[in-house]
Amino acid sequence: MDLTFTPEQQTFRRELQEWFTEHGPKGRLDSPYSEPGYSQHLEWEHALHEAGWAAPSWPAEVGGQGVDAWAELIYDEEYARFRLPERLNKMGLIHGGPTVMAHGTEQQKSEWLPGILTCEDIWCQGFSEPGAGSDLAAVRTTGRIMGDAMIVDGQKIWTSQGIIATTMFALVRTDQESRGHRGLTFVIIDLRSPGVEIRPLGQLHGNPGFAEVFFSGVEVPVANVIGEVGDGWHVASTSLALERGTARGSHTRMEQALVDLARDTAATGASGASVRRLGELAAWVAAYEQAAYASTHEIATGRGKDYASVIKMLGTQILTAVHEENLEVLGADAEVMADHGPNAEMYGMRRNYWHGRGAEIYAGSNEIQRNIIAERQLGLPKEPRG
Amino acid sequence: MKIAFEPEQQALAAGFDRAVGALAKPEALRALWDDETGRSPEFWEAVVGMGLPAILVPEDCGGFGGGLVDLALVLESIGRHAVPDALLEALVTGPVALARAGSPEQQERWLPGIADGSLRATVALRGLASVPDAHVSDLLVYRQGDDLLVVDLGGCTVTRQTVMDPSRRQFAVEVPEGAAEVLPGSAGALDIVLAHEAAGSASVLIGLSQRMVDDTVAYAKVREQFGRVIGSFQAVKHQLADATARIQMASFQAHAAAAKVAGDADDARFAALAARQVALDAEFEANRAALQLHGGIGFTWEHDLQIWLKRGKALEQAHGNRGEIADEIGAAVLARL
Repeated sequence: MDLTFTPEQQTFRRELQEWFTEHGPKGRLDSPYSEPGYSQHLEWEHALHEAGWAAPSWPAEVGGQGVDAWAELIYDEEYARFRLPERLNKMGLIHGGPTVMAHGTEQQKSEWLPGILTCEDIWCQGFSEPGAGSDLAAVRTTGRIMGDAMIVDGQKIWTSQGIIATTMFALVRTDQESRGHRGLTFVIIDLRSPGVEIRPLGQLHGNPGFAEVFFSGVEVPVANVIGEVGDGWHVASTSLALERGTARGSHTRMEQALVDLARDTAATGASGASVRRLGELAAWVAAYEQAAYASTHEIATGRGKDYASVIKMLGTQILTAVHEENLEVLGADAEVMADHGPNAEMYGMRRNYWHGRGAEIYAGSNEIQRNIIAERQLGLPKEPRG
Repeated sequence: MKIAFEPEQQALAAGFDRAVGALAKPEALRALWDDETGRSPEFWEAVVGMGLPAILVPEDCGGFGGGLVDLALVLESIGRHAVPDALLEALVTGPVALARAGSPEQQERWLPGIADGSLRATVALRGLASVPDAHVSDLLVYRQGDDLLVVDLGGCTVTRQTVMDPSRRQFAVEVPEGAAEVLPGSAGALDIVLAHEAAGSASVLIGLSQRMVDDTVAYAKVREQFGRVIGSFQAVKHQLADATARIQMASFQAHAAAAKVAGDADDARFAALAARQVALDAEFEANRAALQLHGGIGFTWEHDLQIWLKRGKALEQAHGNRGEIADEIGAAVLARL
């Protein structure tokens, strides 16, 4: 057991801190869904990319530095600690890109990966549909293969980054006779193609970004299929595991939420009951940090013991509990949003609170995570299906 | 970072687990319920034979000079097998208190005997009304305010308490005036002693919790209702998943805390308290789910589940309960602002 970072890792952290201090945006950027905000975010992304900091864990050939899992963790921690802007292309960086790296051909890697780092392409995920939420295998969007082209028809929903995205990695049903997870294919769709319609979908905390995406007769090259036709469920499983598996700095952001809670607890009189609840939460926040380290150790040693569902489920629950307690100590002031116009986007703790409630649903709802833990880890039988 | 135990640590725990598995089967534990001492000399000999009491004793006092991290997996095994003996006290907090707070003369007097198993220590950091294993121990380390004291139990009045868990042997101890001596290094050592208690007890709770969940999972795979095994119902699965996730998270923190306590890290006390807090939450949930999902059969005297249920309830309170630990953590968080 060794809980220290090596001198090389500490040097890596210091270099990053120096670079973020010098080049990080001063002050909060506008929303990436506004014209000026989009430009500001793009400028920041370009600065990261030019300095080699867009995705240091990616191979050098596609614009990364090829650093290991521990350096990636340090990067995520420092990015969060400096409270730097949310990544414009996070679906590409965290899910789409790594899935292409794991399952794509060399041709596909060189075609798709650089554009994620330059933000020439902004990626989004096309998994959920109106009838395929928790039951993801119920996907009905079709991809009919005709020669070199796949014709896509259907609808995706709750698409994060959808209103700014140019590129979607999607699950479509290529075998029309199939049901469930067989007959699905993982394909990359250019959303600038004819027949694609993107409609913004409001979110309850007022933040834009969500979309519904409609496809009618959209022509996609079959060369855009990642993995084999019909093997999409397997390819998507990689993407889902990446979405749930690593902490991506969430332990640092959780620690920040706890410090904010502690400040509000102190400022509101620190009653015995609130100090006790703060202590309970602080213990779980500490454990979550250790979970992030344990998970990184598994990735770094290639053993890959899978903590993804435990981390996703409890991580989102702990974060919500911290925010709930923050509302609790603020009391009647909790609902007051000073400096907000009517129906404006929320920001700060209130935005994070609602976003966290969403996180208990997205990336496989916490009920689905419980099924996964029970079935894969404990070996309990699946519930009979309708 | 390396978030894994060394091969020797794993081998020690595996050896201990095999020995305990053979010696502390549920029927053997039950047989001891009606025994006045409730303790098996054979079991203590096995513990001594494996050198476990020497692990936290410094080398110059005849010990191994190890740290809590060397015993973390052994402590989990103690919980898993519901070992009735107060081993957290005998192997961890007793030797650590004497080694950290004792004068050189006190260390020389007590520690070599602890290391070779000829002297057995018990510990009371929260009053003398319910001290574990005072009847089979030679000396007692206890806390009075900010002082740690040591006393030869031979000169004390020891009265057995009747407790819920028939395996436990708890005693009210009366220390005669002037019989105890203060460990002079108490002021500097109390924190690290309490950290050993919190982190070590967390590991015991984790083993205990995992056993309750394992046995309940096994039962849920065979018990049928409504024509299906009950483990196929989400109402059952989700409770077991919740308990499993909490135990997993508690293990991460307990392992880190054991390493931090062993290395005297600045945040050792905080990490240890957090480990106990999370392990308490995990055990509470595992205990609740285990009985609930076993249903009526788990409520019978004949069923062995009660061994872990009752031990769990006793150990939730014995080394600082959830409120007490949370209050300390909360105050520490505010003090860091």
